[in-house]
Amino acid sequence: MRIYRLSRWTALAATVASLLALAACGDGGEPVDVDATVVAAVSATVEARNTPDGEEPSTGDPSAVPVILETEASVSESNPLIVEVRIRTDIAAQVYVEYENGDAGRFRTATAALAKEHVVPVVRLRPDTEYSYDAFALGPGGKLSEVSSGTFETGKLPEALATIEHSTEGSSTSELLLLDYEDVLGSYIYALDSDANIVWYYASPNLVADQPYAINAVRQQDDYNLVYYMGRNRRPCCIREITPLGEIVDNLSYGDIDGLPHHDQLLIADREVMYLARIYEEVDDSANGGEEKVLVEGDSIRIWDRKTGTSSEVWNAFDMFSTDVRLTWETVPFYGVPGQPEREGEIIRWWNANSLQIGPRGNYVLSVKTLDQVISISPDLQHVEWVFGGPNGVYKFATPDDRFYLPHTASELSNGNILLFDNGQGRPEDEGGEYTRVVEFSLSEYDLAATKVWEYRPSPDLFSRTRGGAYRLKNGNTLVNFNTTPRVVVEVDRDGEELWRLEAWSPAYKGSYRAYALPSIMGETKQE
Amino acid sequence: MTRRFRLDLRFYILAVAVALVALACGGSDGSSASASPTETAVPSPTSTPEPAPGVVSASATLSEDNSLIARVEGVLDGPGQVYVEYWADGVGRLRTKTYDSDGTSFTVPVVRLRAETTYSFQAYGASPGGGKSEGPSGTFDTGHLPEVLAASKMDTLVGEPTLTLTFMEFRQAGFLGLAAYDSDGSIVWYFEAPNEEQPYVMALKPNGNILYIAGFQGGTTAMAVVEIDPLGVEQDRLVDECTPFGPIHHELLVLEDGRVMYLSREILRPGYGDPIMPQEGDTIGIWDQAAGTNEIVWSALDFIDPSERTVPESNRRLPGFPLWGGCDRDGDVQDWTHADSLSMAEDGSVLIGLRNLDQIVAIAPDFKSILWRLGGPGGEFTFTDPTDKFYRPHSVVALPNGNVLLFDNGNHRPGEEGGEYSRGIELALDMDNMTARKVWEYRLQPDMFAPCCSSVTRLENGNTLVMYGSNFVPEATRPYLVIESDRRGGAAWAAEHTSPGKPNQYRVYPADSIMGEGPVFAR
Repeated sequence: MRIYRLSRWTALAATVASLLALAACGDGGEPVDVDATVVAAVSATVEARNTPDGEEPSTGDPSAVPVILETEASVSESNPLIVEVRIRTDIAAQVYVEYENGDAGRFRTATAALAKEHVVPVVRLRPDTEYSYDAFALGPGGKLSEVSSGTFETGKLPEALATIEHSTEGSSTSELLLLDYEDVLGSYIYALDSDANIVWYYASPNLVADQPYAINAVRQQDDYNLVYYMGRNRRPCCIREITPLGEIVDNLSYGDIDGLPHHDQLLIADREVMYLARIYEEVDDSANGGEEKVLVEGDSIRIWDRKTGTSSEVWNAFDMFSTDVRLTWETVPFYGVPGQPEREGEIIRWWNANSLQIGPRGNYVLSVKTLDQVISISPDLQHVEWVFGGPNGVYKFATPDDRFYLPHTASELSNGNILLFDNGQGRPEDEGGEYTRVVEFSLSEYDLAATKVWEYRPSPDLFSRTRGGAYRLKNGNTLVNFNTTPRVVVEVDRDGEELWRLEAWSPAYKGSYRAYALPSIMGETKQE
Repeated sequence: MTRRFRLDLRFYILAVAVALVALACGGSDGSSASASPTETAVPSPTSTPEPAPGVVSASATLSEDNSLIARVEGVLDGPGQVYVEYWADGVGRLRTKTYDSDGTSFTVPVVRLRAETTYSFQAYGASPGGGKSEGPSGTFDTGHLPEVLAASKMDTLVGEPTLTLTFMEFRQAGFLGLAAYDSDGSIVWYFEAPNEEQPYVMALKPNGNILYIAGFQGGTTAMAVVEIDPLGVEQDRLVDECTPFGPIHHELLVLEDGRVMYLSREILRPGYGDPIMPQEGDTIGIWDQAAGTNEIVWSALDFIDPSERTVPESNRRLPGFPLWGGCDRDGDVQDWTHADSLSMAEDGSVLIGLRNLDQIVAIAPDFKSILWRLGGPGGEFTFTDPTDKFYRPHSVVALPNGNVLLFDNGNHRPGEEGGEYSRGIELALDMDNMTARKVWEYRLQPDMFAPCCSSVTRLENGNTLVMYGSNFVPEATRPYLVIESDRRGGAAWAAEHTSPGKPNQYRVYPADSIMGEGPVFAR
């Protein structure tokens, strides 16, 4: 596990950087609604939060037993589901908090580093709920203090989240579920516990008032920060890193230099983010009966180095694929294209990916929605290993019914199989019409055959016309998000049986992208 | 495969020697037929040490089951031997091997015929001492090829092959069987398998018979190992009852003593990994047709730990397609080793190519130990040049000089080693320093990547037949390249085989005769 430790100065610098980045974000100087939490740099908390257990060298008398002089719990002003427990000890000590509610269970925070003054953030809390808590301090030699106890009560959810009706059947194998959520006024990331209670959320700020920026991929770092993409075709924005407390740590806005991020990003080594970015090239389409000069939209892969604040392109579709191979070739108005602030003119939509995954060999697997296909790029990004589905797919389907349409979240599993969310948009009637499923294929190099080896198709059918996704969990189950109304999230086992089903409905619901199984929000653990 | 070829050639050299003695009767039939100077020729007889029987009558009929097999039947004036010479416009004159008559009746099978062609033939009486008598002549017409074969092609791009025949499997909708092309790109022999069996591995026996693995549906596991004669008549069959010997797959190796070595598999349960999954480990079996026995003599699971694996290849599971999965074709079994070839070295050790381990393993002649492992996890040799490493190989061959020849498919070859491309490569092994280095390769320019299948065969003249048996071109036009490369890595012959709808080409097998027939020099 990669441990990232922020110092006060880096935290402060990051905050300043985020402010600068935010100032650069937006369309043509449109007002930026910067959440107040951005500037609430709680550097001491950050430092404590990011110090792993036992790593801080002990100082002082190892036989000393710390005494907790004072504890105080208060609900965050910016988030009713985050509580800060202030702990003051007589000597420098490590501290942690255990907190409990009879219905929710008992949890323990991560252990904060040696200090006398601590602010321990407490997350995974249900709204409108009273919790008791016990604070503990550990001396330099590991001697445990006497417990200092108290209570706190969490606040109310924002109306947008409070009005979501969650209903479940069965049991999830995951303690937490992380969901993106877009309604008519805003977008959120929130976490549900196994009883379908919202226990954490982040309100993603609208860059233009009352205009929500859809949230696409959300990735959790080892230090529990989240990196997510917000924006949509007509309102592109940025990739952001936030802490679980809602602080914006870093931001990559679209622009001439960094391109137009969209849909998915991966966390790779050394604080690098690999992301999909749209690119545009002028091509001569006269051989296909088109015009001599048309502006075509494709995709690139870029890497954002957060250490240096720079990005670079490492792959692009125009280098690897011919625009003569096409499925989607539609003319659409420009939108938020770098160098085209007025968004005038038109482009040809040709090659758009919507997911990016690193396969078991270090290869890169992309689902390409405009070509109904999945591709694998070699680990060195120098060549395309295979193309599956679509007009130039190399693997043949056993039956036409196995074909997929508008795929999302394609991933290569550890056994080499390909799992994908098959939206089914445009599926011909003779192949079953428009319905959505999750399907796993085995790709045989022997005869270049694609064999369906597993499928989950709910009954009655659901049709997630856009968005949606599926991930294979470590236990072999599959977590699926249907962007339907109501939204449906299911965990299914290897036999395709639903173990758990969540339906979420809100009158303001606009859409959702993915669901993720989450072990922890901020390093807190459930106590048995 | 080289081993098999060598055995076959030995047999053929012996046959030629016998023919030289038996047919040393001289004379000319006045034929104007010619033969390629590269072909192994059956010399014309020059003397008649003892009288040969006269051929009273001879007539030709085409097989009802095979449009490229004819038989010449007739009567001799006394018991003896008989052979037939046959020719057609644009086709060199060929001579069958010599057959004993049945009393005074004789039947001579005639093979290596092109479709839809009018052939002339002449029967000859022969005596064991080399006597010869000219008999009646006649004509016959061959029939149509099965549709799939008719649509296939073998187009020479450059040069000509050392051996004039190329056997290969056809495993596609419309035709499941074997066929042979001549050097002009015409199919001159075929066999259509019964019972929807899908032959995909064959081996030529010294007696001219052919062994093949009868593949089950589209997979590589077997329904049986079958021996046929060149006329397609089944001679022997080992039904793959699976337990405890199967499933047989990927390789048949005819040993010098006539026994047949094959690859099979066994399943390790509960298995390996997290979550724990059953593992399929390859085994080696030997079928002794003469003794009627069949036994497993080696298992990878006895010598290699499942923790030594590549990812994701070793984690791949049986698809719904019946590729692997042991006797039950269990979908949870992981294809850990995936052996695809065997070869016996001069010293009796056996090389096994483990595709999913990127590895070749040398097994002691008594099968009780491993001598060395080359490549992949657990490999004991250092490659002095990293670009000499191979990935997901096929068709491993132990050469007489101790070197190892293989088809390096190159799947997932790292970019710093050149990325994904395929080649034939010969590696020299330094057993003192445990190093391996490339001493020969054939690599297409521009590169071609064959993700599956493919083969290499070292010929007696030192050339190597390299076949690229897989690519990403649509099946309707998918080409398979066959190249005979010389020792310098150049192409002495190159041909492109296409058969619309053929998904891959597992191997090709060079040969110079189907049933003992051979060309006749112009006289």
